[in-house]
Amino acid sequence: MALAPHPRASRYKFSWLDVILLVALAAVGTWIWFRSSIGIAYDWNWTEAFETINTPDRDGGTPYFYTGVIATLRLSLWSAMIATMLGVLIGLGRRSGISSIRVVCSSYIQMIRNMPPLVFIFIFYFFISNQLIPLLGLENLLRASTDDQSYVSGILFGPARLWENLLSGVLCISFIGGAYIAEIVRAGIGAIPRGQWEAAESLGLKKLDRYRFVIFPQAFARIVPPLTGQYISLVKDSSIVSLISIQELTFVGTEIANSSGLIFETWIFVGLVYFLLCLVLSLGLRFVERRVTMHFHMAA
Amino acid sequence: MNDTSTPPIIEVGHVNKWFGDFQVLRDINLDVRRGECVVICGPSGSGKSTLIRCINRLETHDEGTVRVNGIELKAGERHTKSLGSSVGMVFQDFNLFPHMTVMENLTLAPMRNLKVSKSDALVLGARYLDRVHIGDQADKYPAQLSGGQQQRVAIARSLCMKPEILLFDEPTSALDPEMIREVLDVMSEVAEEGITMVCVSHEMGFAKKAADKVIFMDHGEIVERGDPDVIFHNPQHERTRAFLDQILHYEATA
Amino acid sequence: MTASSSWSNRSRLRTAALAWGQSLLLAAAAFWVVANGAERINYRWQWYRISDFLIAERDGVLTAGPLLDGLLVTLEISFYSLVLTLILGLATALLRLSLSLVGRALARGYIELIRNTPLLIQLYIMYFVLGPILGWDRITTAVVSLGLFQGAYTAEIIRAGLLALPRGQREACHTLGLTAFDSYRYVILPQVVRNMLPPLTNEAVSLIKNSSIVSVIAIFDLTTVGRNIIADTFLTFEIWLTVAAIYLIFTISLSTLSDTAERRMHADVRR
Repeated sequence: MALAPHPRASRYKFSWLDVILLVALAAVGTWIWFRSSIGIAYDWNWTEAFETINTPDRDGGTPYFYTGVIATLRLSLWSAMIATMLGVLIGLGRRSGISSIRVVCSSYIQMIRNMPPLVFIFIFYFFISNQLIPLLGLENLLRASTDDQSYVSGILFGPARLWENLLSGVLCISFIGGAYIAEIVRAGIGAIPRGQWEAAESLGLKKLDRYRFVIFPQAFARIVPPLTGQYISLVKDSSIVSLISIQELTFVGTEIANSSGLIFETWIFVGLVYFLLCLVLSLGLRFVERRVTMHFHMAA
Repeated sequence: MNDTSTPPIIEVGHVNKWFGDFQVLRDINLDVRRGECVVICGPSGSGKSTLIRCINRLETHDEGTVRVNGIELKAGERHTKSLGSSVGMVFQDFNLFPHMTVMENLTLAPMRNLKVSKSDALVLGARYLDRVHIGDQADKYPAQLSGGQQQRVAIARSLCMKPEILLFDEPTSALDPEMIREVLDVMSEVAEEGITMVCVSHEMGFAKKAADKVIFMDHGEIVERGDPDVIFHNPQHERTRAFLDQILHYEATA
Repeated sequence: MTASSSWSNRSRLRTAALAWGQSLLLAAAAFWVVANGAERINYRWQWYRISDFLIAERDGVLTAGPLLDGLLVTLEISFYSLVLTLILGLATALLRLSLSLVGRALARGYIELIRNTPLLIQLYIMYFVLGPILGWDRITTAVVSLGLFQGAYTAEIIRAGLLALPRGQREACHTLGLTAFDSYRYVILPQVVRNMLPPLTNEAVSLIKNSSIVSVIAIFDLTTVGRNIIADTFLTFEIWLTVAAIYLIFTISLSTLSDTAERRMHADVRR
């Protein structure tokens, strides 16, 4: 197989390889079609699937499927914010002058990054349901007092009866995402050449000023690209909290698939929605990323 | 220029320093008087850079005494705060802040540390940029300048803090040959203005012109010290002679 | 010199002791939090029962308990998926670097599709849609899902590894008159493999971690076994902490290995 000399080489040639790939692709496609329509005789019913998805709920409100999509977005948004704060704190903690803070932060990062997310979620769920919920008596109070929920809080936090549910999901995803973001922050700051620290120090800048004016602005440009990637991962990772009954897109998908029996169509729909969400998000974030790092590239 | 009646501004006494098991500084004794320009030369790995980094506390010494501007710097202790902005440093690879314009590089520390107002800082910055002969480059980013220009910005940046002592760590060794001169000229001008300077440098022309004292270091110890003319033309020590032979030979052929 | 070198040795020892002491303290603190939390809900610790789930004694003969059986399934699935991952990753990387238009489009489409959807959804589509259509059993479905998922990420690592080799190396081979085979055999591959081993080890860590997700399609891996034991015995804390510890033993030792290898490699290059 001939390797292109450069990743962006534009010398496309239609070769035997293309023919083989096209034939193979057609063969696989035909085989799958054959197996599904003749082998197991699945009765595809896209019209009904569409109707199911677009059916409003009992009170004529937003269809269940769309509440799932919105819930996933809401979950991702809050998780991204909390995970970023957590990640910055832990990432900075890894550079702390106090060695016990460093040890705590690095063990946290190590542990989360090396543990299956599913196992973490189950352990976390057990803690949440047994310990954190009782501590949230405060929230019950809050909930009772906000019977007439405002439109804004409805958009931001969803229906009040699911606040605890949302909070569990957000904390869960944030704790996982935070460890990955911490590593990104640490690496971004660590990549600043030593001479920059020394120059800032020998100009007599105070520690806070060194970070604020010299280190952070440079680290920022290095942190943003991997960080946007992490946000997309966060949207994807949010799907596993469906396993602890957090009501988001995957959870909703499971319920619709089970109740309607349109298993194939529902899961393909859910997959498509995630794909579009992530694709739009990555295009949008790429735009932001370019805006943010443009100045830096010009300078360096 | 030498005023022997006042106490030295830098006093280094019996300083030892180790990196792990490797001794980088051996029983260093050095006095620098106010307004003096001292050039330190010697082969690479001889401890020159480490010595001046001990003076502004980028490194700490393990044993002995270091006294800068009347402040005792204790062994093994980093406390830059007490030194404040009295010691400036110019690095081999400039270390300008790449995300800031030249003027922003110059005004950052005066505004943050000396609490100079923005308009005063701009005036200050412009004055020092003129002094290093690149007054017209204020709004450029470091990456848009040549190496020689960047190093002159770095010198101006240090001068903006009005330091009493200015340290140079091989300021010309990262430069292309044709840019060395413009930096050395600026350094000579600064020396003439009477600021105390300690330069790690092999530039003999500069040493002859500007230095009051030349120090030759090898293997972590000061081998020889004295008047530039004596060191360069009549070195007393075999090691100094061997080193100068190498440099002169190189300069003759280069 | 001797005085100070012994001083620096002593200080190094002290630093190491301090780090260990802190880790112990940290572990103790974590244990206290868990124990304290458990006490508040009147949790009755029964750690002594755990050993039965690790090693069972049947008729005086020691056999692997359910947790170790589960671990075996986890490692088995991870291994087969790793093989599939490497094959898919290499093929995709080569297609992305090839001159074939279809090949590039295919590779690109595969990577984008996998990277922009959650693993759980991929597994569901495999299990609920493709599996029944193609008549796959659960293990095959799991291995194919994990392999397809990780393959898309590994492809980019392999591609980067192939591109990272300085052009000068190929040019030097060419000017020395080495044949294409010899330059791959003696120059290109040794360097590429060496550079890629640490990141590929990390892919294996990811696979072991991600393999736990197959527990949602009722495969009896470590996670599923843990869930089942908890459902039977309510030893929630003990079992989950044991399961987590078993995963961590494997993943942390693998990633430490890759970190060390990477650091040593960088040190070599610098020298």
